[in-house]
Amino acid sequence: MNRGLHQFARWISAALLCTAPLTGAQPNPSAPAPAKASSKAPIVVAIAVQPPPTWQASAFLPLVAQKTGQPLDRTAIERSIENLFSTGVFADISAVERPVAGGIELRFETRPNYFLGGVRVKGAPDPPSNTELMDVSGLQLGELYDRARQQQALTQMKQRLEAYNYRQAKITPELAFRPQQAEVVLTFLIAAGPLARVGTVSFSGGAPDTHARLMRTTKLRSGEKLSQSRLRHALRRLHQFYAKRGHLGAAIHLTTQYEGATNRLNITFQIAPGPLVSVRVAGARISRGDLKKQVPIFQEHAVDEELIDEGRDNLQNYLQKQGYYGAKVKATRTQPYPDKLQIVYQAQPGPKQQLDAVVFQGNHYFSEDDLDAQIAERPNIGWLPNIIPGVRGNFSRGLMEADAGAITALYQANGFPNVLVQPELVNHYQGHRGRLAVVFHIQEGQQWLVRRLKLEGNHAFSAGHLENLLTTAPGEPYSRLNLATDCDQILSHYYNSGYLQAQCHSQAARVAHQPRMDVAYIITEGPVSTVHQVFIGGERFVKRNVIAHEVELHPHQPLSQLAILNTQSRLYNLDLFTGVNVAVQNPHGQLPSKNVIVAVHEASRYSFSEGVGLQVQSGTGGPRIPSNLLGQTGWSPFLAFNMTRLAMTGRPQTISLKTLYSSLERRAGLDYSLPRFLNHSSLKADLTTLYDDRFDLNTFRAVRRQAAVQLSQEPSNGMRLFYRLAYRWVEALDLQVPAEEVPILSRPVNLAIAGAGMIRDHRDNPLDTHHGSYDMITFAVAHSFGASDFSRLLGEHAFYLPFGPRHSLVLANATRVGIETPFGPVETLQITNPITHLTTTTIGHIIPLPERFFSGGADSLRGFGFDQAGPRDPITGFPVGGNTMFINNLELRFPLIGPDIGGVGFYDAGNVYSTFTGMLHGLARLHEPSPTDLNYTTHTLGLGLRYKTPVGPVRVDVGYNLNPPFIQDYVTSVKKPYLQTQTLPHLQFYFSIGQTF
Amino acid sequence: MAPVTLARRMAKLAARRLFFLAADPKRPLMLLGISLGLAGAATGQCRPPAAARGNVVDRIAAIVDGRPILASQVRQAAWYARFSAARPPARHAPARLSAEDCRQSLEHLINEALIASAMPARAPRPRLAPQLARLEPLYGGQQGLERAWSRFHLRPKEAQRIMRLQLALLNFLDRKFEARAQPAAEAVRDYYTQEYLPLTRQKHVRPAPLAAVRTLIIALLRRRQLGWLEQAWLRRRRGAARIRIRLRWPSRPAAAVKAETRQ
Repeated sequence: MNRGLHQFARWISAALLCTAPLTGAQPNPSAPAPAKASSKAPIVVAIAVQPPPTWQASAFLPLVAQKTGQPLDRTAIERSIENLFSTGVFADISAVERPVAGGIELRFETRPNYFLGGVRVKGAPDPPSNTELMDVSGLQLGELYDRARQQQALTQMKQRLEAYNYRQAKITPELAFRPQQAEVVLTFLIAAGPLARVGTVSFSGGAPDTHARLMRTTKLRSGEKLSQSRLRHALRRLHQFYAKRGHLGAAIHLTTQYEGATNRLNITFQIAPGPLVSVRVAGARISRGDLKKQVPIFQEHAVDEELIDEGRDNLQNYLQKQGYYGAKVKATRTQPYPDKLQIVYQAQPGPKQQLDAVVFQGNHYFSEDDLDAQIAERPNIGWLPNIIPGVRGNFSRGLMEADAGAITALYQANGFPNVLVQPELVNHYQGHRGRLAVVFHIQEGQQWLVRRLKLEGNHAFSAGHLENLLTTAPGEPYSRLNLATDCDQILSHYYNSGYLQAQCHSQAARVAHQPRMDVAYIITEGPVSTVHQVFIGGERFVKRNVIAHEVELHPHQPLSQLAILNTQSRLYNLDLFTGVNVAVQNPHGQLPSKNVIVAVHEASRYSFSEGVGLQVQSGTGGPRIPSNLLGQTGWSPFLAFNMTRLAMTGRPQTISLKTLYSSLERRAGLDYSLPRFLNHSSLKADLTTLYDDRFDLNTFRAVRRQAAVQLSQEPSNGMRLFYRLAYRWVEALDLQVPAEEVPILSRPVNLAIAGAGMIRDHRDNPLDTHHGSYDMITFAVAHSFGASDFSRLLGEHAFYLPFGPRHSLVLANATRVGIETPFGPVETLQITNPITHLTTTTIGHIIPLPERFFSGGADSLRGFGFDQAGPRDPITGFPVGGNTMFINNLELRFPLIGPDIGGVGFYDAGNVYSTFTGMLHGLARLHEPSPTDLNYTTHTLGLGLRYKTPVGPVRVDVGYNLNPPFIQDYVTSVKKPYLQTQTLPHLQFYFSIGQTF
Repeated sequence: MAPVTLARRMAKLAARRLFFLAADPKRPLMLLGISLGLAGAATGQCRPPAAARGNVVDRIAAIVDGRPILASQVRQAAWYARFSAARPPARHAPARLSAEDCRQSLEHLINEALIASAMPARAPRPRLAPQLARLEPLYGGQQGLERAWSRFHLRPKEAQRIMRLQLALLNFLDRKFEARAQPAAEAVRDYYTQEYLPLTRQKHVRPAPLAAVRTLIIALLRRRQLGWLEQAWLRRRRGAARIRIRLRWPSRPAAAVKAETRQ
């Protein structure tokens, strides 16, 4: 035998003999012999594919390589199974043949894959929260359901719970199969069990006599519950313990050992205190607090070269920002003894200088304003030297280099690839000692333009259509940044059209010897994906058709990324869900058509909020005594309770109850809100009822009951129109008016009010506005049963103008005008003078007291006490409101200390006037014509403080009224009544939350 | 027999004793060496269970990281293994495959799939001509080789596809690990004293000096190291892979397996 053959054979058999025996098995007499390659194959007469749920067989038949009328081809069968499997919807596929007349029927029997239709976690102890555990699981909506992945997710969640010291947590997965959608909803039920407790706490390293003190420092006691944050705080306290004693680089490591039987964690702190470290600065005065902020050794609790160098750089920048623009800092590290380390930052600040100017030279394409907008350096403002923080000049060498880079990037993005920007620091600018200027020398070079633009590979969209999306065009500046942006635009367009696998790259070639470029975008479109079906899940109370109405994805339409995002956004805007997830089922499968899953997580239907508050101001209402004519300074605590219920009747309708109880007001209101009214997305209806009992005005107590219907719509962003019908019952009680007026003014009045209005709100932040504008106009007509009818027109315009360095100052102005015009039946009023006993008869319209205009207080005219402005009763002297109102508030808002504390200077002008004519005459008057005719305009100057909070600024305002009114009243409580006149106080103060306007 | 010749024969015999892949890239590839070391023993019927109605032509046997392995591919690989084990000219083929054939073949294909997934997409396609040139004379020429394949139910294209794939996989593995397979001088000496010399004593042959057989020993040890590295790597990949078996061949009692082995 051939020697090589022998070797080959022995080698092969030896390899095989080393492993399992390959002896023959029992032949199965019933099984047919395997077909030999050359046998005559039967003819396939029919082919069928068993589709999975939600699909038709016709979607899969094109993938079958075997054709009817052809002999059975095993290679084709193999390819067919592989093609069908690549769709991703099948877990198993068998090709089965069955003899039929004329040949065989070939049938592909399948078992479907299941995909995740929802992943939920319930029962997390928080921390960690349900959301955190769900993130840790790594399971994604729409991915293939797999037990191994489920187990892996479970393990990861358990590890996370253990990290939070829930060592006995049990997690039970619950599966809910939806065969019709080939989905499974996986819910992990968490039973966290008890938190582990502190076992023994021991220390290794460090001086043994300090262990007792260290134990106290950690605040860990055996047997107490041990949360992760508690352990973290213990470690932090130990670091602080050593840092206070100078061991800034103390290394403290924590090891734990868990005892399952007792659920206790034994903790060992391994401590290496390290040397005593001293850090100081020589050559410059820097406070200890600033030193700790600039040198990261103090925060990192470690000492290494990197941190020392970082501290050096920070100190250098710090000095430069103080005005020592030439400052240099060097760090030296010495260890005179093994247990002592000294770090000295040797500073050479140089002279204190001022950046006077930033100058650009050599720029032709961009103006100085354009370049100035790119840089961070700011010269000092000479006339405001450091009075107001934020106005100081801003310069450092690092900034200068960064600004040169920013200018270079700007030029390169506009077709100047060879631009050179050299910054230069000029000392003794314009001959002044200590004054600096930064000069940017710019050599622009030639601007390169695009000569030709070509698009290749686009079949779905024409070149003209795509070119509209591009920044690059023939004749436009050439820039690599634009090429990348344009590719992103093209891809975004394709993704939004269902081409989820589209690719784009750009090519640019220079035209020989010219500053011109030929640009081409090469597009690989890939297949288009369409929506097959949309599955909605996760809802409990919300009706499914409410959700379906917001879904922008529909069967047979392209699977668009934009539609997915819009669907999410619209569902969130219903304010019914805390989580909305839209995902593609089987994202990696090769089918062109995909099912889309919309999984929602409903918010709690009920929400409650409680609040306590305090309002302090002068001139408030109080005991109804004549001596309280001017109001009194006081405080008014209040309690608020609100309840909201979402998803009424399964729709995005909300009912809410709002109550307020304070010493000046009691209020309860019920509101039923119906957004998307009559299926119009911009139309909203509100049904409200209100009970209000106010005694914050010292003239009377107003009780009001109201039912109202309002329709509002938002035709565009920031614009709102509303239409209102209300029925109101009002009554004024405890009137401080002459006895003759009481029967008329205290009469309960029923009002039917119809009105409309418009609001245009373009403010950046309604709670604390820095720029924008606000306009409001409302008009209403009221028919009263028992008093005069009247119309009311109310308008407001406010603007906010930022200016100054970095727009840190805001000029804000608000103007409000209100006009009430009574008509209808007139009343006869007779008033008797208590001294002369003469009776005056007045015939006119009487608008109910609570419906008149009142003004004065923290939110209107700050030169008056609350609602103290305007006409007063000629006998009692109490404010009685007026039919017209004009208020103008002008404020200058500025920063004071840091970003949170600001100041306001304000000027308020205006008043409440008895009639429209009275307002017209009174606008130009500085003083009232008489104590009974208060139609004039007051002027108030004031200052205020603002402190920013998440719910708006807390404010304190002090206003000084330059021309407060003289008022008169008759003192009738004595035997001999007499007339007295007095001036309202000049000074008022207020403490409240929120800006005035 | 000259000591060097004996050394050469012993080195080659020793290499064949190892149950991982042989080194010679010129020989037809036998990745079974690796995979069989990981597979268990079983016997049984190779054909998949018949469907309730009709005859199953083909089906999915396993899924490895999302890629299917079909029952027909398992059968092909099992026939190829039988062909490779048979002595040329392989005139007698078994009537049918055993369940054990198929189980081991499936394991082998799973390993192939794992290695293939690690290969770069544009790996060079190995040339089969040298392998075929060595094989054809053993089977009486190209026609003889094709007839031999046919006896083992293999079409020429199928057999060549399997050969080419296995060559590509082995080349990839060798290139991946060859830099790390560098036997140290001590290892060469140890092999000489602990394995070569006892073997010569056993065979009553005068041992050749170390210098004469050093090259052979180094080649042997390199092959051995490569095998260990490749096995360890494959074991790690298997541990990290998602493998789902859809088709299992039933196992027979150990006594029956032992009896069959003796036969």
